[in-house]
Amino acid sequence: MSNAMTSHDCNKVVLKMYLALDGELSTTEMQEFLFELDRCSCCFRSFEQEKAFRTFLVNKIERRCMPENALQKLRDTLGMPNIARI
Amino acid sequence: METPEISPEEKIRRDALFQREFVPHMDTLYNFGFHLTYNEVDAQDLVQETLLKAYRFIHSYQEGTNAKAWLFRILKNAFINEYRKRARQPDPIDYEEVVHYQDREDASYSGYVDLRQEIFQGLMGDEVTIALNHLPVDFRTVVLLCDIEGFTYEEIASIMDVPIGTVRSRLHRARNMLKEELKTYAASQGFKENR
Ligand SMILES: [Zn+2]
Repeated sequence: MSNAMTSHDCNKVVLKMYLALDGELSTTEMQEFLFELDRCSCCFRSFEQEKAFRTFLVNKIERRCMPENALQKLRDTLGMPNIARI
Repeated sequence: METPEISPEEKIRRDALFQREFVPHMDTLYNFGFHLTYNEVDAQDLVQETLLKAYRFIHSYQEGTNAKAWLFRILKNAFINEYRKRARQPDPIDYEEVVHYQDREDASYSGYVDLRQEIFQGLMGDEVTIALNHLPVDFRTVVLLCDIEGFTYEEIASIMDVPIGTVRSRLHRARNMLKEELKTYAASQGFKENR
């Protein structure tokens, strides 16, 4: 898992994986990260799993909207009858 | 609510600004408040308090400011204050306490919790909400802000008043805790890890 120039460290790649999925890598860092994924099927597998987990989480977490009566209370308190949900 | 003397034109300008910049975030604020408290009335109160406060300080608001992050910060602080007030005796959740038990970035990065797709795809939404609910509130907050609201680490750091490194380590830790809990649910449902 290494070439003459650089060695592949799975732990470091996994660390980068979180940053990559959170959109916290620069373009260059992202390219380096993707290059590392091509070099190691373990890292690639971890990446795919983590990505699927994130999607799963986002889809399953319950989302609620402000109830209409609470919105009305806000309109009344602020004296702004026209406040409208967008 | 009492507002210092302002002209009718200024009132119209402020109301329009409020509708344009703050109201669009109302539902996500409510959702955040709901996941912090798991109580609809408390969540409604938090949103009211947040938006009233934002309106009160609207004269200081500059267009182009990150309104969403500002509102989330106000709501988070309102939540902490409310819990401090309530937490006379045994704290149900102590927002600050949780902070100490891990914050060293390096130490918290140990380990990748492997949660295979076969495991979590059998889970329903309810279990995820319950698992999230079980996380200490600091950890739940980072997951909500990052995964649900899509805030950057930098924004989360300014919403939560912690360094970016802490955001990163808490997120890592929180997701691992979630995975562990979801694995336990899956196991209790009789899911066997084969392989
Ligand atoms: Zn690797």
